[in-house]
Amino acid sequence: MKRRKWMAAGLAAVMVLSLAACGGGSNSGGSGETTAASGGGGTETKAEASGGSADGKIEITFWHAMGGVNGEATEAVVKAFNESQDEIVVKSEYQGTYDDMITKLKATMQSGGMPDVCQMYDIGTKFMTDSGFAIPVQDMFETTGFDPSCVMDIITSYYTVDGKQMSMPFNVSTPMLYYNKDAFKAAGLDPDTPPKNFDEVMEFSKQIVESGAAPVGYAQAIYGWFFEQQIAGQGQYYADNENGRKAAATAVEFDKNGTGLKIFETWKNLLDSGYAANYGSTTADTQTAFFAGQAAIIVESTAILRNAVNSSAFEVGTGYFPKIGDNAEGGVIIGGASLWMMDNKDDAKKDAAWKFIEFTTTPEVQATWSMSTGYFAINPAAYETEEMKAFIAENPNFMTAINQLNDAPVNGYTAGVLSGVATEARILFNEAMEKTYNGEYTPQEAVDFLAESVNSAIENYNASTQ
Amino acid sequence: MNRKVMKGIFYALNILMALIIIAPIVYCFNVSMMSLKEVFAGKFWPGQLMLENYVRAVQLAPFFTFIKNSLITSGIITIGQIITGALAAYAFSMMKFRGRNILFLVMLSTMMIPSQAIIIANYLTICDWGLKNTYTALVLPNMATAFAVFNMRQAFLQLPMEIKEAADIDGCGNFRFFYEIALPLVRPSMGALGIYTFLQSWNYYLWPLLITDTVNMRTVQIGLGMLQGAEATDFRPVMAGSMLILIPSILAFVLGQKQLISGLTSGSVKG
Amino acid sequence: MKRRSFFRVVEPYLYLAPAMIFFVLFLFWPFFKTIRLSFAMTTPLGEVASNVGLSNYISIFTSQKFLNSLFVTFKYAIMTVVFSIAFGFILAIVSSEDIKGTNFFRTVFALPMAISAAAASVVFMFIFHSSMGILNKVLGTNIGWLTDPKYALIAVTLVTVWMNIGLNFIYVTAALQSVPMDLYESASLEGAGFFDKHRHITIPCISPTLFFLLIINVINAVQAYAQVKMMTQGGPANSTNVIVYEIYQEAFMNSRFGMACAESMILFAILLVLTLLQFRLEKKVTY
Repeated sequence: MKRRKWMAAGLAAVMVLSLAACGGGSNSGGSGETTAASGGGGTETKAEASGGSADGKIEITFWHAMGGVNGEATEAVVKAFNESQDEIVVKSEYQGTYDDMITKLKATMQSGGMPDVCQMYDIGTKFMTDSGFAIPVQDMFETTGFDPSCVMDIITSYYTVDGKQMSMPFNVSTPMLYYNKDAFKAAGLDPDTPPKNFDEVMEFSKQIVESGAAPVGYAQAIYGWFFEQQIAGQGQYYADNENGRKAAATAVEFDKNGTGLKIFETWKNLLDSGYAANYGSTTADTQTAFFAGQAAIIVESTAILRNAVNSSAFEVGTGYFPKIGDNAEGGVIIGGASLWMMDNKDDAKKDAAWKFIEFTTTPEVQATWSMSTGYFAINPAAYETEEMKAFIAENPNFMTAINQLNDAPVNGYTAGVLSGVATEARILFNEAMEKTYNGEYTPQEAVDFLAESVNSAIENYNASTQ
Repeated sequence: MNRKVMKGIFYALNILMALIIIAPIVYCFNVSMMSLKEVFAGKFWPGQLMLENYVRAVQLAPFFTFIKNSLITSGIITIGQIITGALAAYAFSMMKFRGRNILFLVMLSTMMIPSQAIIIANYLTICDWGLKNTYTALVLPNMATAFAVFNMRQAFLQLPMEIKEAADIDGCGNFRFFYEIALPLVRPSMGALGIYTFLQSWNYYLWPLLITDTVNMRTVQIGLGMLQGAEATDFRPVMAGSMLILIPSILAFVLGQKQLISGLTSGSVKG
Repeated sequence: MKRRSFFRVVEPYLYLAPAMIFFVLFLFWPFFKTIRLSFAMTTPLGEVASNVGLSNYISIFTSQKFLNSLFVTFKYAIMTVVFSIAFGFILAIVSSEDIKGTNFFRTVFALPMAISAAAASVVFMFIFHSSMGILNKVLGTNIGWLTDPKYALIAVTLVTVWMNIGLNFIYVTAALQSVPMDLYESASLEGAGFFDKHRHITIPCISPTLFFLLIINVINAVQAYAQVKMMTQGGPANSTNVIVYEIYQEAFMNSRFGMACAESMILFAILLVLTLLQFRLEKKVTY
């Protein structure tokens, strides 16, 4: 029933893509300082016939961490850019996961051979800023006449450090709630009313499990991102110095402002009730449990919407990220990744890198990107394009994500924490949560452990980056 | 009677063990042939044979390029390790020289260095030499291992010392003895080492990941990692990718193993 | 005459040279850097920020997480080494009996050797999957094999043993060929049973191979990493956080190379001691 709609949407997306991508290919190989390999580098090897890059074109490299469908969409953006003009050739290279990429990037920072444009996940922002190898994108705004207001404030606020926008958001998402409408009906719940807060999550889950509509009511992966989101949702800071944005954070605050304890208690209660399940820290496992009809409600990134609808045999409903305690100041934080300009001490490449980044922010590119991946369009004008309007009309679930983002207040809480130890903090969160679930820690002990460990990591980070 | 019963028991044991060991591979193949519905339903056997997942896997990652790269690098590494290993092992087992024990111990101790600890330093070295994204970079740090030396040394030690003594009396030079007599005698061990090394290097992950930035220099394991990252919730293309990279290594293994087994059974080396 | 003896002196080193050159460039040199970094605080890029003396060592030995990783590694190593060698041995014995199809069984038993840690992990992750995995379906259980701290290490061990069987099997099979048949025959004449024969003849005869396998298995087990990275990332609740994964996390996730290097040095020391102990054991057993 739903299949056809999606086919149509998919087709539209494909058409837009192929329109943008028609014509010849890009050049590859040749100039490489680092590409000593036989056969030249580049993803677009098939285009090698179309003349070398010795014709005065500037070649820049772009590293990204987008695989699968998102990778294909990223390559399409690059291709469209290369065909939109004839001075610059962007060579894109997929580098594996974000963690793999950051490892490699660190190595190139020491040895040379940095890419000119590099995608970096949200929590790598502090590292990139502190590394000193990045050129803030804001430096380019004035000279090129770029209007920064064409990107939503709530999105740029995350990537703004000391009042300066460091990088250009590229793939942007927030968490939201997904639910199985068929299971809701079977349980006698209103399929159009998702739970808004955790009291309702508990209540609905109970009804779903007890009515036998699904074996598990609610599930969420053990994922530090959700913890950070729930702190912002309560309108509080994760760390001091206003989430590390006024000055480098020196300690966490979730242990002092009570948000941490509330979150751990809520989640632990839910699991202990028997109406929820824990599928571990691999987010994909929770997703599959949902797709397979095992768990009726989950929270996940807005970016999996497409996959959720395609993979599920039932009707998928969406709702706002459920809250723990209501607060007008609170809201969701954006996640995802942004594009960084790396400083290779070459003005021509710098300008070329900016032109590429600027290109990615145009409404057309953003509309195509958003439709083919499920990420937000960072440029609100993208939602005014005809394709996008038609797309949203056909996929009302998409509106949930956009509305949620628009409803979130732009303030220090929803800007998210800026921390050099964010990756580690998430790993530590996993440990704290796992030990709470299996009863080794009480929620209070878990919060104390987490705060203490993250604080010592912050202390070490600050000492080593003096 | 008793003998027959024993044989029956051994047959049953062999079959049972074989089934247990092969089940995961069969299951991997089965899932690579399934539809999403069948996967969610938790089936063991697929309802049909279809290549859809393989097409998807190849689309997501150019596996054939990866297989070519892996074959080249694994091949060179295998040959390199056998040569460096056999030479060093010969010295350690057949020759007397100052510092032999201490050098052997030092060499052996390299097996205990965790590779994660030295990988960044090696990366910087290779970059300094301007070798990033080349086959040379992929193979160079792996051209000699203590394992190979150790393994070959054990093989040479099993040769009867009398052969060497007789050769010395005949005035046979060391290299000639090494090349014409000792090496042929330890062929089975070389075969075993060769297979082992080939499979080990086929499986390298972190090093190729670091040292290659371009898709056309990547190796198969990275391809699998790419798939897993890209298709986190759909196991089918990942299983198809696994099958694709399993086929060459299983093939190499089955072909090489025949050689190996016949080499192993062709007579006792130990006098 | 003099030249010849000079050559005699130098000759052994020439044989060592090729291997040694590679060792020096790609093992010893980086290893010295590791030693150096283990006494330093490093920037997130891995450069020396300041020298801190022994403070990295002090903090890892007071770190609950590191001590836990030692303990996990210890449990994991014992389980994998014992089961890998035992299964390899049993399979070799079983398949060396005089029955039809031996070659087929041998190929199958050695097959896991051909499967990479990455591929094996991917396959087993799905087998162990808590909601859709075939294992829970077959056993009729609802166990979170990879998400329950009680089972995760066992699951990872199982995969490792499965991967290790091939190598152990091949080496034991090869060693069995060199056991003189007449020993078995005379034992049979004296009325020794199946188990007696293997206990008193096979095991002593192939003890050099078993010793070699012991060393290799211990080193491999203590350095295991890929399975953990792919399957559990050290979790849940650090129950599979083996030492090499802990090092990986410190270096590449937490960007504390100094600490990671100090941990590597401890790992190195542990392996060195273990190997030396085993060499002493070999002298006692085989001579």
